Amino acid sequence: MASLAGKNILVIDDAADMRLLARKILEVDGATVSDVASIDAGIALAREKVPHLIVVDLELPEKTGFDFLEFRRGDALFQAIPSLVLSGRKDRESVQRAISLGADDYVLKPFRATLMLQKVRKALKLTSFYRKSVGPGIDGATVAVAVEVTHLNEVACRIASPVKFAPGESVRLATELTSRLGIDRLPLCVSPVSGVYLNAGQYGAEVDFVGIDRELAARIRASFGGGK
Amino acid sequence: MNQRLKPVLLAIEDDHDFRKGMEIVLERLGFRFVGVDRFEDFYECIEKFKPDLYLVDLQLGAQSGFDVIHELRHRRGLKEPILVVSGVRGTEAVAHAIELGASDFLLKPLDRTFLSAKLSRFIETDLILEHKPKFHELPRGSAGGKVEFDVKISEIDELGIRFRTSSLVPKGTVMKLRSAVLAEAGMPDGEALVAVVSSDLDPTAKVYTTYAEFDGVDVEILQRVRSWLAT
Repeated sequence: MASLAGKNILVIDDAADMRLLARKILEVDGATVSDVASIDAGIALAREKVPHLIVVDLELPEKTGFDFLEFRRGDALFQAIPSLVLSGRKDRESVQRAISLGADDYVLKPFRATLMLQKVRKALKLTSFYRKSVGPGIDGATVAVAVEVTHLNEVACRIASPVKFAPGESVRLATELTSRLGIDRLPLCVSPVSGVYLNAGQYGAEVDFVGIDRELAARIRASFGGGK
Repeated sequence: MNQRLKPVLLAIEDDHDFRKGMEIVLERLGFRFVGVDRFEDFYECIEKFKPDLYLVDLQLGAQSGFDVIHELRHRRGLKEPILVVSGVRGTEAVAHAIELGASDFLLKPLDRTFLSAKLSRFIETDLILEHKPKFHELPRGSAGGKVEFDVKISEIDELGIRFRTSSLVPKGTVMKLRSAVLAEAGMPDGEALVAVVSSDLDPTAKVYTTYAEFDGVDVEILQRVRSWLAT
């Protein structure tokens, strides 16, 4: 499997051929690559589509890679994105300056594909994923899983689903049958007779039709030929 | 039959005629029926009769049936089934009663067949068993669809969602998760297909913490989520 699958990488380099080369190398390994020719365009794009990694050239005509690294130190969003410097400058001073400004690694031009991929993978490995806690008030969610209604009477039904429902859990059923009978409008409640393992990863549960009236109960009874 | 062997059913209902009607039906179904219309009497009867099941009307004047459910479940910690019997229609009243701990909600008017069918879900007497509705087996594959339930999201990251639920969703379960916070994160319609990776039980709280990874979600959309997470 491509090791960079699902990763978005932004390449900032003014040389079109270098951008194309970097793109080819990274895309072969599964990455999604965006490339731009200037620092400002790179910053704007990264704000819009936050990449997993930025590869930046040091020598650009207007703002340089050093300018980018300086900027990155003062910006919380960019600090969290690993940045790899790409440069033809072999002098110790440039390398040291880039690293001291926070570059995660330094790749010398001309570079070999394997070396670049190695450095990119290493930088990404050290990156932790963004995560966000969801607080009370906005944490509500609804989960829908496949279900089969296996048995029915006028006040309850039995279902088979992958979920081992806890007794008392409120559920809603959406099947053609429950819709036809008008049961899907009712709030339903999982009865204590539940959580039985059936087979093939399916659990059984009995579900009570809560808030049902006698007319609907009689209608359900009549649907399978039951009398009054 | 020995009176003490009969299950005791205590009802609070301020409609005298309805109470009387319930008494006749329930005595015939093999219960010892105790019906009251005042809260003081109701709470006194709990101590006196140690009922096996409660029937609670919702509209009771000064105090509502909701207060009674709360008192029984939360203040007194009673475990016996509490069935709401009410003329109040609408899912909100039902949902609120269930949230407070009611076991079921029956809409008035009642008849013997309906009442015994409902009671048979919670308690059994010889006569109730006689009338207990049988489950009809449906032809295999004839009633497929989806079941929905609510969970609480605790965290979202680039790969998936962590949520709390009282039900066990086993590893490998594929499901659709819908929430306002996912819409805010950039998921179309606030929906995402996810596959469960782990479900860990907190035995004290009896709650599972489940982690599910995004499954088959478009890379562009995941990128939107990532940008939302980064802000």
